[in-house]
Amino acid sequence: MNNYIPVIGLEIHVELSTKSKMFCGCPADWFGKAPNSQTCPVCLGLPGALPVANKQAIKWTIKIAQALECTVPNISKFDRKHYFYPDLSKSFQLSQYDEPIGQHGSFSVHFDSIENKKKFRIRRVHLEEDAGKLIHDGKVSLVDYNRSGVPLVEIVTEPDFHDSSDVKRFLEELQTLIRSLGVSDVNMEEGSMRLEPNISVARRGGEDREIGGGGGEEEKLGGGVELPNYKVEVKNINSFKFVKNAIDYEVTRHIEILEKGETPVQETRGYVEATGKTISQRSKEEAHDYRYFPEPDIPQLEFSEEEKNPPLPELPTAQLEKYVNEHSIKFEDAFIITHDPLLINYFEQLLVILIRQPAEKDLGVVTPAKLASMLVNKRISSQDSPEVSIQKASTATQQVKTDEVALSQSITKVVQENEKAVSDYKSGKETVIMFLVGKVMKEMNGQADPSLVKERLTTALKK
Amino acid sequence: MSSTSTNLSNADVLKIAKLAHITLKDEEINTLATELSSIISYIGKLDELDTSSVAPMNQVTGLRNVTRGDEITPETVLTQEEALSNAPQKKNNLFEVDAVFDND
Amino acid sequence: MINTRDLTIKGTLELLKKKEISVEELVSSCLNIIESKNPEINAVLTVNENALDEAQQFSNLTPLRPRLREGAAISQFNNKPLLGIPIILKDAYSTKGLRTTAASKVLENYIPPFDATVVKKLKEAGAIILGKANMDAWAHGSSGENSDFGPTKNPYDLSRTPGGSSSGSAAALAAGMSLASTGTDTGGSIRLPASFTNLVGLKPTYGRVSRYGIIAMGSSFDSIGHFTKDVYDNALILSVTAGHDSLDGTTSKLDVPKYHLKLETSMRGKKIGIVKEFTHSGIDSKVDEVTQKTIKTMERLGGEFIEVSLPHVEYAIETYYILVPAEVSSNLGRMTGTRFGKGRELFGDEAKRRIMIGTYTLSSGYYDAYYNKALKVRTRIKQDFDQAFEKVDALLCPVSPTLPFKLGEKANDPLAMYLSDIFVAPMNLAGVPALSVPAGSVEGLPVGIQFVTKQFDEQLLYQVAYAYEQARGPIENLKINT
Repeated sequence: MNNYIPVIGLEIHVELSTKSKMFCGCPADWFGKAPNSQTCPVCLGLPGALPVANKQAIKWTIKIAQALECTVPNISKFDRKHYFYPDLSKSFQLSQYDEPIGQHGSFSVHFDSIENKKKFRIRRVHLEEDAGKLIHDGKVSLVDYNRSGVPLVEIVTEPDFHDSSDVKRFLEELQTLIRSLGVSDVNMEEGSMRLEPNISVARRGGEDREIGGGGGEEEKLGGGVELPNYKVEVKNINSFKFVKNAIDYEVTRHIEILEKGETPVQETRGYVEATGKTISQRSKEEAHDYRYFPEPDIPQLEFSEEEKNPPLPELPTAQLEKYVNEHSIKFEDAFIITHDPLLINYFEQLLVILIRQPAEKDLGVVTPAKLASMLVNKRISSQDSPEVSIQKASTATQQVKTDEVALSQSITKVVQENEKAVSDYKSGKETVIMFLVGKVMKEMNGQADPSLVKERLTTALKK
Repeated sequence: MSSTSTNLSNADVLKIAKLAHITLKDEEINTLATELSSIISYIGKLDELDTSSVAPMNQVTGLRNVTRGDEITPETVLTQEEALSNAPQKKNNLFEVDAVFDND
Repeated sequence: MINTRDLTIKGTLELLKKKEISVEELVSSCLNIIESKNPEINAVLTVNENALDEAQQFSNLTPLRPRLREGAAISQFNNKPLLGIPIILKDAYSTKGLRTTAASKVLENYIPPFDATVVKKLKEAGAIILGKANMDAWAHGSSGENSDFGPTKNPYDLSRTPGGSSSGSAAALAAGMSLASTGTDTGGSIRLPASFTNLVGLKPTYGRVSRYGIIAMGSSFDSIGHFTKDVYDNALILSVTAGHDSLDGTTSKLDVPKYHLKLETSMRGKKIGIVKEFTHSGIDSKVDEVTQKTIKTMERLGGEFIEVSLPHVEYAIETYYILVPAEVSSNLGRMTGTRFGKGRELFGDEAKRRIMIGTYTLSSGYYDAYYNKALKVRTRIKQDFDQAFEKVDALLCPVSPTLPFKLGEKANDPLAMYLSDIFVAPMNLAGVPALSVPAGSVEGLPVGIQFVTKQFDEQLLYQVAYAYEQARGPIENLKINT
């Protein structure tokens, strides 16, 4: 296995939760509706119908592009992508070819700790329309066009993934990110998030060569790697739980072929849930000539500076880092909270109250870390009002016995390591004391009475 | 690209026809090869022009940013019956077509 | 029976207002002519079975109160400027519940579940849709000979074409089957037939009239226009059909004036351009004589003629035949016989040719050399027109290099057929409006002249044409032969 490295790039489709479709006024909420009950001449591809672009979908795509740190251009457009398939009513898909809404971005993902972070490059983000749904029925296929024309955002990464676990983590983080923007349900089981990995396997041996990405900077994968000259696209992965399986199966399959001295065929394969294997999709073997050209029915898009830079909410990754680095919250607790929209909303309310507390108020000293831990462990609940939860936390923290020797050592260490905070405190910024208390609490692994810590720390700092 | 004359072979014609999902009878292929070749040679005359400093114009209106608000317009939505009214084959309110082999 | 051949819309509205005729009589007369003449000229493909019923909704028209000025009439006519007027639509216009074929076997049984925006507007204005007109299949052609349902014949000479692709629309109106008809003009498809059948034919500015619901040929070229017997009628119809449509992203938000109410303007001092490059092109000498006569008429009216150059117009046909087939090949992709219509094996020869040329020029490796190159030449052609309109108010051009030609004459030479668009296609590349107006007759055959103005300047276009029409007087030596 060490002779081979998987090289994986991802193509992810996200269905936007707009009210209406991308190019017409039909309802976009297609799931579970009576077949062909939500169509119009435009999305049904009747002769004479014309597309008009959904402004909200464009705005939301820009948001996604910005959240993924892409460059958003001043000018963009739609192009026709031609191919024949029964679920594609016009026999072309309205998509974006050479002037997509976002390019050259990146997305960083934390693994098990705040330091263990990998950056993956985003090649492009663009906006397009979905096709209808095709159902197989023996000798015939049946088509429902309710889904035809629903807005899809396509996110393409560079082939920066070398491990199926990374892919799964990335998708989970991407899901959290997009949910925080409020633009899609991003639910794989319902089809509002779809994954098509492009998989190949690189062989070690030969001169040193670099494969970029994974670690953010160019990273030699050790011992020189021969870049693959083929790739296989895998479709039909309909759930998070199959992502790892499908990729692992495919990588193993490639390695077997490579071991024989052969090269895997460049093709599209479909994942089969029942067997956990992929099978070849013969009819897609021919290379597609999509004959792209700019859509004449939709005038060019020009973005103003404001449109290119929409206000974004604080993103989950930034929140995670803030919680760990500034509020000294344990990574695992911060991770859980920032990945749950309900919890994070509640927690932010708790923080607001906590920070408002004047430093001396004798409620016992409750730290963000403590609150986080109690929330995650369900010792306080988001069902209660924030004030009640703070009160509960305060009561709990007052019951801890403190090892004074360890405390004294911890205080010395923290004071040494946080010169700036100390000098800020000494120059009058009294609220900084809570930051330092937090650091000491962390040193003490939470095994200290915060009000005692504060008292000792205040004394120590007076010296 | 040579502009003076393009000669399409029968194989070329068949390739284009396949891409365009056009069926051709054997008798048509030769004629089309000749006709298309002469038309393509004719339009290739544009090669004579120097357009290196010109931007392509695919929209003569000069319009920009024509979009619609995210609203459902019930007056444009077809009923299920209307949508299916011209279907040559249908089953359970779905359009029926010859089977396609891959699952997607 | 009413003699619809000699009636204009304006005249008819007067008669209707005075209750001298009824809408039912009008529609009946038209339907009778269709029944008796259509077997001979094959202009109409589908008749609206409900036309007479629709006519009956107007059976009790309020007469115009004699004391009031026309503009202040309190009657149904105010809100419905085309009340009771029978119109035939080119069969590229989607009509709800009424078969729409684009004259192709592929759509032989297609019944649209919706109306094109223009059809809605005409109906709202009170017009009665009589039926759907024959055409070159998919609008591919300049003679009507590419129809899958047989060619249409020119009512002035049954051995000749009425021009195309709006062949049936022109022939039907000329024969008196309706009082107006609609068409599409992608590369001359209204102007050429108008010239061949002694009618006024408008190609409006691209984006002036909605294309929604009109079977697309060349998406960035298709201009939605119409045929009438005179300039006033033509202007009246445009005031109904023009305007912004939220369903067509290429339509303009500019106001739509009542074009027909501001036709009288002096031509004194108006600068009219003659295109240098058009005087070099091969043109039948007798046709050219008509052009020269027209110039004299305009000069008498005070128009100043200036020579202008459109240097890139020499490449207009090549540019057109790269861009349009590309758009055609894309637009016809949806005809798969799965949601409507029949299979692609029913495409006719010309459709196949254009689809294949379009597919070729868009295919990988060729896009830059052909399509993208043509888009650049198009920029140049538009710039040529823009520059010309800085020097002149309007252009005066021929419409066809030849007299209406005989059926079969050009059918075997696709390239020769394409070249008949030489004076009309450039306007579609630039998106400017143009009007073909009857100018004379040669050997008993109609010859038209073309006026062109800059984008969205249809008011001036109509003014110039109206001035010409009034000064020209009646055209001699023309007789309908059906």
